[in-house]
Amino acid sequence: MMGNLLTLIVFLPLLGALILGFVPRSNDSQPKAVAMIATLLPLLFAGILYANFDSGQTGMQFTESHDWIHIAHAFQDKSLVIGYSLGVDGLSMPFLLLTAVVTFLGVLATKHMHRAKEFYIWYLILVTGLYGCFLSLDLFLFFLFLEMTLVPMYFLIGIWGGDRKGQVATKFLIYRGLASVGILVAFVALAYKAAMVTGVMTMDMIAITDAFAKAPADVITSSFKQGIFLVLFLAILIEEAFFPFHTWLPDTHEQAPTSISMVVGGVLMKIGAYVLFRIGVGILPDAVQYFATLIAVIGVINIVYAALVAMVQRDWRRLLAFSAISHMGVVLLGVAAMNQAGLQGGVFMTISSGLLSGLLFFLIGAIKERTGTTIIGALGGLSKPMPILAGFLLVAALGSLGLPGMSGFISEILAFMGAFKAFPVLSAVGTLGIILAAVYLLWAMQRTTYGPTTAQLEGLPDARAVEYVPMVVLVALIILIGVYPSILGDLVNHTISSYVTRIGG
Amino acid sequence: MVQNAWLIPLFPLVAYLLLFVLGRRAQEGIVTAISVLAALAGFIVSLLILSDVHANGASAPYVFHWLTVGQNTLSMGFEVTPLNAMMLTVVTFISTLVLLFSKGYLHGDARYSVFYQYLNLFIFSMLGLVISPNLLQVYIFWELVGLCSFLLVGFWYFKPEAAAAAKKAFIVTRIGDVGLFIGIVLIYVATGTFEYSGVFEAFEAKKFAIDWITPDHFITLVAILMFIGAMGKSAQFPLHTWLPDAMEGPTPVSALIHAATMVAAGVYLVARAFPIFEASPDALTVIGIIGGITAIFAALIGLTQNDIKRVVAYSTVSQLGYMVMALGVSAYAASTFHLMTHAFFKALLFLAAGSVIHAIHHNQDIRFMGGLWKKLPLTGWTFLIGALALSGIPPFAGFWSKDEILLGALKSGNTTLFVLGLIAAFCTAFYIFRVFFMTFTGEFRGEKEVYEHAHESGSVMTIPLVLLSIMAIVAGLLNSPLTDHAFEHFIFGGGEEIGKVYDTEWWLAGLATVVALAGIGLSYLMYKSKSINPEALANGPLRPFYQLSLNKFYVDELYHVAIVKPVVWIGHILNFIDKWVVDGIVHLFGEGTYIGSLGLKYSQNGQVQTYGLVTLIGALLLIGAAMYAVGGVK
Repeated sequence: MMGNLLTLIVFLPLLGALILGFVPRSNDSQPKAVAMIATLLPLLFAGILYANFDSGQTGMQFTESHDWIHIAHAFQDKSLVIGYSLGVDGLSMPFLLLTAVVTFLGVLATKHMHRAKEFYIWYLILVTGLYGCFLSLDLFLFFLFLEMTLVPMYFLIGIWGGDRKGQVATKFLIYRGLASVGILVAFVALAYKAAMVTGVMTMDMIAITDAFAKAPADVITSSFKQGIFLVLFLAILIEEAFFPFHTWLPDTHEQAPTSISMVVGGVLMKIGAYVLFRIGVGILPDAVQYFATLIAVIGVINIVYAALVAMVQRDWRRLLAFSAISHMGVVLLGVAAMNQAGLQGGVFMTISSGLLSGLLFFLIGAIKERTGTTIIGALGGLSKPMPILAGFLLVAALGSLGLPGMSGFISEILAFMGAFKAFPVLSAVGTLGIILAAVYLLWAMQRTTYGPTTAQLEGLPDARAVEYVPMVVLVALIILIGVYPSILGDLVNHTISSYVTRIGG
Repeated sequence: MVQNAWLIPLFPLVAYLLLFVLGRRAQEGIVTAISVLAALAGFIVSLLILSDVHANGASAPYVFHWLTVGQNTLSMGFEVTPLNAMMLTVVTFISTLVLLFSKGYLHGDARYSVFYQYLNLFIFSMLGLVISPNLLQVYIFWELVGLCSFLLVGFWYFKPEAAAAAKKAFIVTRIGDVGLFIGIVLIYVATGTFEYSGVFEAFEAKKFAIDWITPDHFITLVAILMFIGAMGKSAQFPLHTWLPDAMEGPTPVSALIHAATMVAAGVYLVARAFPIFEASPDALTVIGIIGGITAIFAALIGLTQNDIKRVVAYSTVSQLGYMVMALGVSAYAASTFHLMTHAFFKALLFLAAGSVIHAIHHNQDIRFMGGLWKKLPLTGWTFLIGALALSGIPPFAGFWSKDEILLGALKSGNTTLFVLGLIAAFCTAFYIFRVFFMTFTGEFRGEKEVYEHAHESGSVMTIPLVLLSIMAIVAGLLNSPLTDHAFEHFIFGGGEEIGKVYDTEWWLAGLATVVALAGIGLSYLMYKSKSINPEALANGPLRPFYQLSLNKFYVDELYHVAIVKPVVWIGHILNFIDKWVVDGIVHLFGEGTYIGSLGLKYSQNGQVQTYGLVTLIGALLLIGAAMYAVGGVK
């Protein structure tokens, strides 16, 4: 029964997009309904998979595998096989669930789009791309899905974006296109080296992982691994919007419509982190270990730099973008530690940051819809006209600054528990981010909701019934992870453990 | 009984959830009833547990599994020790009274129910903190009490000063919290556990899984990092600046959170984790010095402040300094005892001040008070009792506990700390009676009409005052020769002494009393009999000193110039670099490509397909290059 659920999850949104092609252009509510179903069903299926997931196991589950493309004589006299293979393990399960939740809520958060039909078509193609990235077990397939996120994003920003949409959409495309190139180069190199070990040319992730784990040092030299890793890491820095390749992210968030901001901050941006865990730590652990100090330094630079820049932003969306960069710096620090707590903290932080970004961008979108602005200085005293939205903004800001009882804290402390073991001094510098996060988030939150209410903000409507869904769902998940972290920890623990044992050698 | 201790924090949590569900329009009476009953139930269970611990001593912690990290398990749970049984009782007792008092004080506020929600959340968090059996759980609740403090200080969110004070409180304490954060994470890295018992064992054996520092230095480092957390929470110099500003919150909040309970959490933490601190004489020395400086520094500022709540707030900072200093000289029992007595008489002083403020339409400036004894006799009496207890006049509570701290400082051989403590005691007596005389005696200096209408509040506000007054009178006897130092025997759990204990020195008690009386006497001469003109002094030879004290030694201004402004400037500079250098290079690159591709301009129609094509061609070229380099292509 579970047989084809993964395929359904991946392609239902695309099917939705196809159906939308036949919906008349004029209708506004039909596209949204189709999009809602096309994202709700995958969410339900993801829930079923989660319920049937065996977290005690380290391998892939619910796998589907078919040979897809044969290229004869690609490697000496053997053919290259590209598989259509999907699967979930403890690492990808949280990403699957995150994608399912955020992409569905993104549809809910979308209202009155002009050219609604086209919007949802691109949106649904994007969603298929996102699912595909986290579920692919074949590097080539992964790459195709990654590319599948690029084009829809270009149009989603370019058509429905803010006043600088064209420029920012192009920037997005160039940056992430470059990252794709790096990823592809690294993938091909991985496949070729693996083929030299096994004699079989394949893009299969598991086979390549095994080949690299077993390969004698003279066949796959450590300098080769380091070389691939550097290319891959550079691509990840762009994908994940790390300094100095981060400038596309604040622009994207500033220009993109609310639901797209939610999906970018919540899911799309996390692909880079996923690649870092899956390919970096999973296939090239010695190279990660070799560059650990470099990774940690970049992590700390991002934590502190992005926090300081966030502090002086005038626009909520840019502030949140820098805040996300700062938080993802903690992921790099945790990964650099290359131990259980650090890696687990890294995954936690990635998921937590996704949920919190989704929530925060939704709230800022709701405030923009009412007040017409996201400029922090133009807001004030919103607690009075809209106590519910203000209350959720408070909760979201607190969650983001790492208040215990919410997902951010346990992520942060796990990552630092790992990081302080490996890099005590760098980690100590990194804790500056904890203080600075409180500074910029409380400032912005207070500037928005506290203080006297100006006349033109008086009497604005509070949250509508439908708006409660994204807010309550996201806050519930954020608190659930914070209060009962095992719900996430038990999923990832075994997979991470298997990575860690490989590092220990 | 101790296995039921988890009920104590559960009650306020349930009350919080109930109020949350009932919503912000719930009736005041129902809101108060739910809250007071929950706190009262907690108090009753606390009393039962107190007697159980008294009879049977501390229990082993009750824990459950929380999160697995590889081979390690993080757990949560609760424990009951003599120290936290005392804390549970004090917190629930004062909470009950403050919740009751707030019914009068917050009556008619549009967000009445929200106020009670926050208070219940605070009480839950505070109880969760003291009941924690491990450092991680302590940290979790440590942050949560900070959050509640933030919410309650900024309760009147539309007042910009309240919002600023709330933010300041959160950020300044968070600077301390990061110290604690690093401290407990390092402890985990070094010992593999957060549990007190496991940590203490490792510290005793000095066996740590850390190689970049010697065990002794590691202990000192960790102890000082944890103490930085305590400094933030307990408002120790130089992280004290948030507490006086926190007086922007409603007065019941000041009484409960910023006098009796949360601000004592720092002292509690050092006391609970005392084996860690005891293992490092250097850390203890630092703690003693910081405590001593705080005690005298805040007392000097308290001399000249005109806001009734701020004077009491500075006295809180100063008294917390005493407690910390006591821990620094290993006077464990004296410190925890002072924590308890201080909770009673300081909550009393705040509530009495609240009663005054409430009666005269939320004026807090003592320069516009006076002669209120006639209008508010009960408030006057209770404030007087609180003031006597704070000054350390026998037989009031503060006398017994402060005396023990001075004794501990003297016997530890640290004469400087002893002298500082004695001078601070003089100042304390002086400033609190300055407030008393200016508020309750003489002529009213505010608007006549306000004075005419001033009257004692209802029983919900006076009952708490009376009950706290009783405690402020008798609580000190618990650790006096009259009761054979019952408190000490209790807090040591019938086992070994923790820290150092000395026999009462009657000459010292006499000296401290004389010093306190002298302070009161000077205050009387200046503000009651007016034989000395305070203004002449302030504008005369003492003017520089007066200005320093009045302006709180310019610490806030110093921070603004030395820390806040530079950090914001760094932010602006980095933002500029981000915009014009980091992003600029990208644009330059983009422009360069643009110019270079002018020839292809017409084939480039700006369509995404083109960009996709360019990307693909580039990718294919790179793949080819990579394949060639790898050697696969022949």
